[in-house]
Amino acid sequence: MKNKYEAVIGLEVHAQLKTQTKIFCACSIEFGKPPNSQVCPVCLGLPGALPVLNQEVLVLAVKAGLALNCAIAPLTKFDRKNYFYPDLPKGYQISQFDKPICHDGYLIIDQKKINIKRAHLEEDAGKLVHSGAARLHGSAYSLVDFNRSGTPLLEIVSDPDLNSADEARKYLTELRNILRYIDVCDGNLEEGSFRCDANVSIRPVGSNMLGTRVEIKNMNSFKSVKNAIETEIERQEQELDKGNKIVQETRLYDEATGDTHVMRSKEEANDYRYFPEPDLVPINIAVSFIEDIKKTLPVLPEVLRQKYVSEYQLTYDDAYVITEDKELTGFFETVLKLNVNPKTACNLLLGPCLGYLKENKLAIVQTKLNDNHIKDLVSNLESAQISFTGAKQVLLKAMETGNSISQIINDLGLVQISDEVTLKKFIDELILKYPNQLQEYKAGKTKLRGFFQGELMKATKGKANPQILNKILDESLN
Amino acid sequence: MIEIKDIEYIAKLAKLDLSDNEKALYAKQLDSIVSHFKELSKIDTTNCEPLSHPLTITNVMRADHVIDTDTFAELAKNIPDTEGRFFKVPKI
Ligand SMILES: [Zn+2]
Repeated sequence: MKNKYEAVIGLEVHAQLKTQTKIFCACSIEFGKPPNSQVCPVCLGLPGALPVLNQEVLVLAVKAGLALNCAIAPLTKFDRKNYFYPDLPKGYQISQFDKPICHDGYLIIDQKKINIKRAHLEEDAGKLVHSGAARLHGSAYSLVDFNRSGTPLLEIVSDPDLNSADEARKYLTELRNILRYIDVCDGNLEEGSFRCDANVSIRPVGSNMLGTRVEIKNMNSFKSVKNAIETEIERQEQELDKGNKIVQETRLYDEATGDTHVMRSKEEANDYRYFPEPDLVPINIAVSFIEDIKKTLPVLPEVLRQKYVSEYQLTYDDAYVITEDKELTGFFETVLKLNVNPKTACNLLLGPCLGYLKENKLAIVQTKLNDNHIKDLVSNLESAQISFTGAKQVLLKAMETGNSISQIINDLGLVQISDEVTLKKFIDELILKYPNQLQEYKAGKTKLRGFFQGELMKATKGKANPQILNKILDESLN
Repeated sequence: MIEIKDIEYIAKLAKLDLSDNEKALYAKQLDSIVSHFKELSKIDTTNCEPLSHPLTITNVMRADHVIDTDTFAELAKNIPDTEGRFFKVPKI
């Protein structure tokens, strides 16, 4: 069935910057410390305390902006966003309103350009804990941990250029990937260092009008983003089909049920009364500062993919999977420096190797595998010393033990039999064992060739080099 | 013209509970402040960069070095209510 509607989606991502300290004070931002052990008068909003910008925040934000093809503002400043909530100690959040540090960028997913409207700096709020004990006692209260208060965030806002839940997931994957590549954000979804809100609306296919948009919050994984958006698109389609109007509102995604429910409607929407932050002076960003940072940028995933496709004849999909993992890409690059056939190396890495890494939740650098292992393994494959099936086993052993490839091949007894004289002996024995079958074959029952082939593989325990085996088999049978 | 309903809206956002007398008083006072800005906006500012800070200094920053700040015991003296190492607040 052809769909009547088209989805229009914009995403807001909060990426935590990989600094040592908070954005406006010298408290550590290390995750998982005892509650309120990393707080000071600044991040608790005590009277008289003054914020001072962390210079590393500026470096990382510019780096992210450049990697996302953004323009960097020559002059940027901070503003107060005013609202009350118990996790916000000052009664306002220091953010950026009219002069964001980065603007007008883009990133590419599946050859499609997704525009990035802006990326601005802000401080994170504290964390509310609704303790179970509170409910038992019937006394309604919440607990607050301000360790996260003042953690530096870069809020990256896309244009509504995404048209499906799948595109949204791809955009997020690519964005996270880029930020991890340039070492600006660790992209850890569980620890909340990469969070996402979505604006979703639908419109009749072919229309240029923007429908009423609904904001969805509280999605904690890429899977829940995809789910939440799909569910919301369906809900809006059903509303429109029933002749109802979409109400502008904020909805919360419920991980457990996979549904969304209303958090607040537009009438209750906050009026943040932004105004310039008087406690922080403006920041001029010199062209030379930007140029210096540009020099530190690594080659970005999309550029690598294009290179792998055009220079090494990898498929785009294979190149994509390799570059999804920063460590794996680094490893692949060092392997390529050893003049190894890229296609074969890629097959080894994406097949058995990646499977093993995922299963054991490891990065490639955490295994004992090195670039020479791949080089030796590929050369063994190329000289037909071992089969690809054998190579898979060897690779897994190499990751576990770090032993040399030749030793592993010996230990596992995987050396292929490519020697014609040895193989001929196996064939002669077989012919003696099955004289009837040989006669039938010669009488025209050529299907029996497969029978001999199978018996030979059995006799050699699968170690026969298939090409040479076929050649001698033909010679012996005919 | 600032009206009572504007004052009520601002008071609600600022979580202030105002009496009728206060609302009337603030409406009058805020109105005179806003009128003053109306006066200022008559000036032609076409070639004038917006001022984002009254000071002329820029780029005040600090190095990214941690200073250990675990002063919870000290802090707790000023927290009206705690539970363990948490601040205790009314439920939202
Ligand atoms: Zn602090």
